[in-house]
Amino acid sequence: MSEHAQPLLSVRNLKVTFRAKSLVRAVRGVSYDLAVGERVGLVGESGSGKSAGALAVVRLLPDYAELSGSVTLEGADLMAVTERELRSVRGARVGIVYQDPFSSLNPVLTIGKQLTEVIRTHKGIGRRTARREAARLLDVVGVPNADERLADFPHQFSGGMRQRAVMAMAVAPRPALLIADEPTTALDVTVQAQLLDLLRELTSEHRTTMLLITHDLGVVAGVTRRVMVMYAGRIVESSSTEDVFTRASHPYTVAIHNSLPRIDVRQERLVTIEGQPPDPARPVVGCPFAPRCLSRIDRCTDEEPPLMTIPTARRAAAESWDLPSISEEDGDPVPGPDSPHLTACWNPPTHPVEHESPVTP
Amino acid sequence: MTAGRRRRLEGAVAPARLGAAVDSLRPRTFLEGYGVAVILVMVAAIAAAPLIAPDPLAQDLTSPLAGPSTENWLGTDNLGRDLWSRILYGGRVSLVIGVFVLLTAGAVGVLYGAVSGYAGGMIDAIMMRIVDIFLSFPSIMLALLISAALGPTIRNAIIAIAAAWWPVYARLIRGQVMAVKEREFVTASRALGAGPVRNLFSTVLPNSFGVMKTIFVLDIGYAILAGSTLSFLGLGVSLPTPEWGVMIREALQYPTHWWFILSPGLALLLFVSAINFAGGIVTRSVHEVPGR
Repeated sequence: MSEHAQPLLSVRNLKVTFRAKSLVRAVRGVSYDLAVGERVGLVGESGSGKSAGALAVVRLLPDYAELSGSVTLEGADLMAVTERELRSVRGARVGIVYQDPFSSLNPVLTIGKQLTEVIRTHKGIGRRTARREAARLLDVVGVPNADERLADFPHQFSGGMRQRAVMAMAVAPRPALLIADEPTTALDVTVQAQLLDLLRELTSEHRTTMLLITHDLGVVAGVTRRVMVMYAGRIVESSSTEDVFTRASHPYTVAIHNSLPRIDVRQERLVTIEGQPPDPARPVVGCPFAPRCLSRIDRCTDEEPPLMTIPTARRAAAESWDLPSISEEDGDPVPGPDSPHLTACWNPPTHPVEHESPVTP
Repeated sequence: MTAGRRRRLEGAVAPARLGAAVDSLRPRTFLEGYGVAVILVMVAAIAAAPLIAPDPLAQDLTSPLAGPSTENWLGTDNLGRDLWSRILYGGRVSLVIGVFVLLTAGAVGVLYGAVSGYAGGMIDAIMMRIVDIFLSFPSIMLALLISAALGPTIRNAIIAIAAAWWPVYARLIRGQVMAVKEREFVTASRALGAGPVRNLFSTVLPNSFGVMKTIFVLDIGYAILAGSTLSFLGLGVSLPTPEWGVMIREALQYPTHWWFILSPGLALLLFVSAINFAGGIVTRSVHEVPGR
């Protein structure tokens, strides 16, 4: 496909460091491409850097966050532009849906006022037209009696309705990229499914690219074509959504699958991943997942694995290749629309994944 | 013009919210009811002064310092002027001072504090040190100094008191703005492309007024007191103008004629205490009107 030649968004070696008491390395070198119109999942647990990494794309992080690397959106380097220029990117080209619709709407302004303001800012149209457009959008996102509800304040909306309104605001300026940061986490399950459907509709209508951030593999399953799994500030696995579910090739992804509660097997206790994610304030030595990993080998504790294709990863494991030869063989693959299944593991699990409770050695 | 006004109305108050707001403004305790009643009666009387009272400046040297009578309900002062009338007209001056001090000090303080809190960093540090300098003087001292320098007129009294008071509002709003600007909907508004000016004035500031509303209402009383204090000390309002503080000062020379000093003193006490009692309603409504 021709769009694949020129990705919509290109992130290279993105690093986010928070200057707290010590330096907290939230994102430690993340690279990926997003093509026009594709929907991609970014999965990881709390603190894996998935939100920080995504918000860093439009530099919406607190002042004490240091960014490095490059972010190219539609050919423009967002790390180099001024704050003023970024403002015309935010909203207009990149829309964001936040996790908690209870705190991401301004409590003192009506939904209509907030929505109209967004429309007017980006389209420069009159108040009347903007109001009609606001009512139309609210209707599109499935708020009943949209015209009347424009006069409501956020607290008069239910959680699901609020998130619909937030989505209406995010898509109002027709952004090219929609970042949905755990958009359904704060809502109950029935509403979750509806909103995911809505996100899919909204993005397919204008071929909007969507980066769906979540800690829930189930959320990703029906919505995205491919998935990137993050752990401790890096992408550790990238593949099609299907492969992540059937041929997970990073022990962390496998462990996530194993920890999903199962209905067909009687479990006395839920399966968890033993141990804690590494402290992001400490420097990482070796693979950050190694201390919790069931298929750990010696190399894991010494050297952090790069993202590799699966065949390279296996041969590297079998023949103990050093980093330069891996790099030479693979050409430093970047997760993108056409990239093969990638893993950052010195000892990738074999397939099919056996869904068993892991036994601590 | 009209467009701007309509826009404000559109965003201001939806019917349901108005209902909730009115409901929360209903007095619930005896003292609140008393405060509201006193304020309403006094303001009505002050407003209707020309209809229900004679000329406050008309002297009748034949009957100075007369006690209360059917002709002069509260008696007369040392120049035979009707005290009832002077109380009402004096109330006008006091109210004007109170309201304009708040508007001036409030506007300056809010703007200053909002910019300081939103900007943060060095700008905030410098702006707040200036506020500290103002606050290091007792406010009545500062008002006295400024008033003495400018001369005794109502306008100057307003300027003097406002100049002493705005730093309090500036500091208050700054704290609120700093807290509100960290909330998610502010980032969300930035994510939608809002620049700093719009972000501050349409997102952060409207959410920062909670505490301010309460203090503002209570401060009307204190502003009136401060105005009277200045006049009492001879620096607020110049002499022929009736004003409660001026009247108390005049009455001090005639301690045996109790009605002379009692009227302005009581008027001041009644009004300021009523505002304090009624202030509780505003405090409650700030907490009760929905929206976080």
